[in-house]
Amino acid sequence: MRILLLSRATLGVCLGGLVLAGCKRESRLQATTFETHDAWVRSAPDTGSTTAAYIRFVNGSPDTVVVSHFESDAARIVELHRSSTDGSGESHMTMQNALVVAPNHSLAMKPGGYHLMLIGTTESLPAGKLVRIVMHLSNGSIIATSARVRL
Amino acid sequence: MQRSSAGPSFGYIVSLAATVAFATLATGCKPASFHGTAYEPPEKAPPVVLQQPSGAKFSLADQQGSVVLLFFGYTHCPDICPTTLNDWKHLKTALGRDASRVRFVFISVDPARDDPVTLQRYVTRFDPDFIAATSDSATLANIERSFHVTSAREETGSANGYAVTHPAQTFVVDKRGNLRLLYSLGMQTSDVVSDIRQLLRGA
Repeated sequence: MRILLLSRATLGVCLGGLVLAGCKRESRLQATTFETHDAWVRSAPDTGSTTAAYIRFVNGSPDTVVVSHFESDAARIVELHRSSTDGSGESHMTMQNALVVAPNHSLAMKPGGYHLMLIGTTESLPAGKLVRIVMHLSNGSIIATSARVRL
Repeated sequence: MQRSSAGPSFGYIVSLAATVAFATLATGCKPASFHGTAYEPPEKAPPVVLQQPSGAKFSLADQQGSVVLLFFGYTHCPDICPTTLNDWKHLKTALGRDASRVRFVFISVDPARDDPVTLQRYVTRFDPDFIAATSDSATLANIERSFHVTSAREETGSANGYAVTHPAQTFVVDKRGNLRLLYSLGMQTSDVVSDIRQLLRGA
């Protein structure tokens, strides 16, 4: 999934109330992309259970993109967590406030690392089903992606 | 084998290498080579006696003749635990008929939340042959200590409740009851199949 992000400069020009036509043209020139790929959710047979979702983000913009909030109709609450394993092999999991994707970089959520925790699933999530995940970016944009449920 | 980030000492490695080289020259046998992290030398696995959700006892000592995979986890774990169980599911399929001589044992280190129904349902949704087991906190702590691992509650502020730190590896016990291998998260199924088949052949 690809969305267009306006660079800060472009937004500034637009908000400054300059000639609308000029703003439009500049947006087209400076617009860059922030993409989500390979989104998937681990199956959860029971309503009310907890499962995880994973998304790969590609930030093709010259600005850092901060994804500050996640939500989905498939779960009562969606939280961002990060698993990590220390040198002795112990696994820890910590809740994260936001996901930061550096300019012109990608960030892949994956088992053992960043993941979304879908808490209190509102329906059974069998393999093959599609789950919509909505993401709020710190610049005010809201984007969504469809994640395929798999085992 | 003590599991630590520092790993075995240089002297220990030199001595082990010399022993293996001598044994190889003396016998002409090729030493077993594994993809997983090997316990060298193999260690007698500590006693593990747990309760299955059905009420039946699970004892590691009763499993001799089978290769046993052990994992310490908990059902509120949405990331590493289901990933491991799913890897086991693929592994069991890839082992084919050999899987009948392998036991897959998920040990819950969260007995406060993992009641028998919850634990059984969680584990068998990956495969009905997987064994779920747990015990009281004191017994679990003793078992963890004997495996040189720990688990502990961690308050994360999540709506999912507390998290539990736990080992992220799968422990493998051979047919004779010796601790032989460790696998980290992300094991390659074909590698583990190769290792387990060596152990089933008596390596």
